[in-house]
Amino acid sequence: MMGGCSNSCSSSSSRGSSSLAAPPPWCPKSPPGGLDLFGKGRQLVKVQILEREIGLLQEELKTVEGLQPASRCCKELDDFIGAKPDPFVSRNEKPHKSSCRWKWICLSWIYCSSECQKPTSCACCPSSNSHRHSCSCLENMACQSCCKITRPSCPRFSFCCFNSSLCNRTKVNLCCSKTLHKSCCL
Amino acid sequence: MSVAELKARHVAATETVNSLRERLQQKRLLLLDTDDLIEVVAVAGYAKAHGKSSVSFGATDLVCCRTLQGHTGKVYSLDWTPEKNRIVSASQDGRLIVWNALTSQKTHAIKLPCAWVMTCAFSPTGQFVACGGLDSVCSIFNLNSPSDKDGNLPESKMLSGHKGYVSSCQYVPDEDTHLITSSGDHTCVLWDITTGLRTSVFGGEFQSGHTADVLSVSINGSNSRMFVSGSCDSTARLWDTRVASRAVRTFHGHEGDVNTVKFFPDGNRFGTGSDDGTCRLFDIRTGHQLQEYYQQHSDDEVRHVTSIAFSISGRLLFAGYSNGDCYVWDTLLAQVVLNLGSLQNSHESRISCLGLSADGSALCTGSYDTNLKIWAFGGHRKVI
Repeated sequence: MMGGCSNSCSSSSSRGSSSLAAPPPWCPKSPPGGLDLFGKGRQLVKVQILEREIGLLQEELKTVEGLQPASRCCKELDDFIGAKPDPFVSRNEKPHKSSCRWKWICLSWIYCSSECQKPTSCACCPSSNSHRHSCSCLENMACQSCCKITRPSCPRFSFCCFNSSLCNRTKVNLCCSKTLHKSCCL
Repeated sequence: MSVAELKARHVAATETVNSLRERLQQKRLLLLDTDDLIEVVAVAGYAKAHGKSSVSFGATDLVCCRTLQGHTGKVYSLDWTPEKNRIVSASQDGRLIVWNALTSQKTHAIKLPCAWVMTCAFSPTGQFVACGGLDSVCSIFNLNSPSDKDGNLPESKMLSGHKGYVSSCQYVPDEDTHLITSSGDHTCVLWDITTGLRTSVFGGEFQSGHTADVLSVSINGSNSRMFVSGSCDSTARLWDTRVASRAVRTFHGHEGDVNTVKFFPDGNRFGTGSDDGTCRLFDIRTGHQLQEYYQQHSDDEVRHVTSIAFSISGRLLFAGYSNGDCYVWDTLLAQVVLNLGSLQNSHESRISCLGLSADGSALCTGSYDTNLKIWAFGGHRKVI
């Protein structure tokens, strides 16, 4: 760098003469030996990481023979799945035993299609052909509100029923009524 | 030691690592004692040998109950509250929206200081939401705080320290004061939100960890000291929060970026989804890859898996894909039992995120079509 500086200095001193060529641009010299210290450091780190990985893999090789076979893992998986109730996977459940999933379906009747078509598999609201339905899923407060804002254009499928202590009957047709609990019972 | 010697040592060490991995894989294959001695079908082989029948869905068994409309940009991330039925979503429009999933109402619309958000999460109590993105910061908002004079919810904490984008974040279960982030800087970080400091950094330049961007994290619900991460280095890694210096185990197998990871409900296995179009199931205690979930298509298009979630029993694996499909896999038999993308009222574009409600009764999907949709089961079915 000193050499470079002196070169530029000596060059600049002669710059006043228009007959002399412009000096080459100054640039720093590389450190002696041509060694990129920063690159060597990074290379060393990469090697150390690999050597650590080798140690971990050797440890894992020692332990792998003592591991349980895959079939045991599969059995554990199967046993766990079989023991856990799943709202998305019915197993001959009656609707009232799985009320947690019905809260989504009950409310959805308000937003159902304009034809108010009820999937035949949903027991949340009664079909037109039968009054014998267990609608205890609607004991959930979130479901009750669906009955209050039923569209009059869908009378047959818009009724939600639930057991009410205020009604002597087992079924209460809240959606027919204009005021809560003054309902006509089915 | 000279640079040339170091390079030679690097080459030799790489060969040794590859050789050891090959030996490890051979030893693992010997442990595959199910009827199909192929790694990719261990669970399906076991299930078929034990007479399991596939889950089947009727046409109206799984329905879209709600469409949450409000974002004006692609939805990138969503998360349910652990209690109650609220969802937080993050979008390209630079906002977080908090929804009442039952009524579809928006309870909060948070304009973010940095619009480039990629991830969001609800705290265990539901009082806070966290988000992160291209600003490399994880921001915390208290939903009970009053808005500022401009009507915006102020940040209650900024977690700074990552040297790359924040791709994913999740609160530690039952702890509003700790969360884990994953980042484009190849690390995951456990944060103490109270102090705003990093408790632990997993991986990084001088530690044994991921060698590319980390895209996803999932904390073990049964043991919150364990979490898994998925990365662009095609691996998933299991971490113990008490040991940040190295991963407990590295899971190889994928042939592309691992975009999403999710723990299986029992806490002993986890699923992954990748750019290679497959989902896989791994066992954390043994390291076995138990099953691969892949649907061959007639065209050559590879459908990247963007997001996954397990049903509450683990029997179903929901997987969102880059082409808008959302397959419902029978986890045991490795068969697609339904494609939500083909149903009425399905999304019109890529499904970028999905998540199951805490009680397992509903699935929420988020899409590039700017909407979120909630799906629930409405039928009766026998499963033998």
